[in-house]
Amino acid sequence: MPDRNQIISAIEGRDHLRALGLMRQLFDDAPTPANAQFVLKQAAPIREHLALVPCRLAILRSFTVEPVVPILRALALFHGIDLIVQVGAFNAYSKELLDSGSDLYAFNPEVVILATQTRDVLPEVWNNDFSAEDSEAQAVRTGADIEHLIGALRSRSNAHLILNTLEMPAYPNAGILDSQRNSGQCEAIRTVNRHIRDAAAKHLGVYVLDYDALIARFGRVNWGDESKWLTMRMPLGADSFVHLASEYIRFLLPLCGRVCKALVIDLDNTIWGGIVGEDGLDGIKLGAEYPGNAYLEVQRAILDLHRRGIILAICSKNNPDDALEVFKRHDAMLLRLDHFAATRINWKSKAENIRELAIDLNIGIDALAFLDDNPLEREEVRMLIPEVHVIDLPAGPAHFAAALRSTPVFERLALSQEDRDRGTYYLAEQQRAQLQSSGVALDDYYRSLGMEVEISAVTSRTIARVAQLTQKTNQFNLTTRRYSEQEIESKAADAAWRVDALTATDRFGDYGLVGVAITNRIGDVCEIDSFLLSCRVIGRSVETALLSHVAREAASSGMRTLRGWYLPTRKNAPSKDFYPKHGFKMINESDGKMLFEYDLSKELGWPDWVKLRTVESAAR
Amino acid sequence: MTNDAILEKVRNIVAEVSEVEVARVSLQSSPDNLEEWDSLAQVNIVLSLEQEFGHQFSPEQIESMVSVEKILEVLTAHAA
Repeated sequence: MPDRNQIISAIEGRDHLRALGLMRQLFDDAPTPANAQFVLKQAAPIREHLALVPCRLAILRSFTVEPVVPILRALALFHGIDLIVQVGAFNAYSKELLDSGSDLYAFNPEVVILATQTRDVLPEVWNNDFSAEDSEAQAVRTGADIEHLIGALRSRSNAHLILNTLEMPAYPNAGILDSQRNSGQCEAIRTVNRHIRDAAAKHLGVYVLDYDALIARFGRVNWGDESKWLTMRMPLGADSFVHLASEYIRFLLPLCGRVCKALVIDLDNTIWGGIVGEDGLDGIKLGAEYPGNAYLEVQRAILDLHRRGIILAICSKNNPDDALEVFKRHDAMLLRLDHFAATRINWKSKAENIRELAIDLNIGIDALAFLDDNPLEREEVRMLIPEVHVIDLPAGPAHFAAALRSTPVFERLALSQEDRDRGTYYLAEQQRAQLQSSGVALDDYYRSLGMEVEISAVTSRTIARVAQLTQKTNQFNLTTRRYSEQEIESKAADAAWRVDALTATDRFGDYGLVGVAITNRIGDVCEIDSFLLSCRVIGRSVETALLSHVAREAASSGMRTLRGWYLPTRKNAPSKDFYPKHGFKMINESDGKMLFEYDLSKELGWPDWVKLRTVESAAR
Repeated sequence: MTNDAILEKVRNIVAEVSEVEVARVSLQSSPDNLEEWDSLAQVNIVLSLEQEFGHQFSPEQIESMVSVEKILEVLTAHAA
């Protein structure tokens, strides 16, 4: 365990990322409120060097949650989030949500957590002071109450809301009799939980944390500690706070855009047992018996991530022929080569290969996670590329799959069609790359792609993907304004605004919804609030097509001028020259922020090799 | 762990959760003479000690831990 002086001297030596790594080790070793406070205190003066995303979180609660706050803030820090937390008054959550003058709304949170427990929300059920008829009525009433509170929040704030289910008691009042009848205590709680889920599902940006399942995962009997409940009104035991904080982190990472898009995996002793170059195809361990079945579980966990839209890549020190033979000829393999978007099978260092993979896949290096059984390789990657999320594995494969499944950086709060189809996009991309490298002229290459785009106003069907693109797109993004589904919805409903979404397809396949333009009309000026395209479609004139569409649409509705900002970030240099390249004039510049203008009396040309299908949606 | 090492650990925990310099925390410190040692700090002290020392305190122990000295008494009795 690193000692505190090592951390302090790393900070004094301005080695900020190393200091953060050491703090993480110290905290993982003993995740106490005291260590969390130590971490937060040390990190405070170096915050600006850590490229943190700020997030304002309000915690409303029916019970004592205070010890979770420093732990949650420390965990968030390790994931690149500067969490600013306000805790609501004890058991005053209804009042805070209903009163538009409350501290909650004055704080202006981006995320609200409502932390409740059964003994506060359903005291009659918890204390066995209810009848079967009561319980049904109570479930309906609790659901209606929650819905009323959600409605109150939505009328005043676009903040995301995280609700939780209510937990079962460790020992039901009626003992095992409780599960013999369908009107028992646990069934009453289950019914309420169904109503909570239904209430959440009716609103955008409202998510359910399954508190009962969380408690079950770590052991109901050990979750709380009667000594602390009876003396300090503390319903959670000392070890439970870090579990609760970690569960909140699973929600905060996707909400703050701090998730990984791709998983880079090692092969030998990670997805099969043994070393194929030495043990041969028949010598590696993979199949029904231990340890082969442990590696099958790892492969199942990786496949589940693939289905969640996580891009997969291979990084292995091997002779390519040996490794590829396993994929082609081993009967027990669940993973196939077509699950992978890129591979690096060679004898170069993993760090070097991972850097190349990030370029190949065209995603930021901080969106990569790395899975390798070898602690030396993990340490090397951690040292040389601290931005990569390195997944720690225990010794021995039995717990590899669980370690991968518990990693929070792959959590998603919604799955778009694009997420589900991501694997096939990358296969089509490899075929396009082959065509381009075959030496045809650029115009001919564009033409041969047979690109078709469809541009239409955002609808209830596309709103999740549009919001996701504003949150995730970093490189080709002129202003990098992040919007929630709720915010997109209110812009789309405003007559002065337009939210257009672009889907693209070519002869190699469907790109899905990959472009967004958000514009705002004031007088005869149309201002481009947001303009972004997914990196997988950049460089194929689709960006020109979308801009041309925006200009035509603005001109046809009587606008005379088109304006747009380029707001620089650490990642969006690729979009810096976009407006001047399309004939815009710069009219203002300060601190690298540039405002451009285009005179709409001139037509902004459409790339003739892109075919347009415009669809005006009735749902606008 | 020696008694000195335990004292150091307790002083650090009290200082961190109360957000004061460790130099201000002595054997005699208690919620009565250290203003920052409030009820929330007390909860965090108990939780941190339980995890650091791997011991779940009884209600009687929790109620007796009202100064650095009293905390040491509980911890050394448990270690003995």
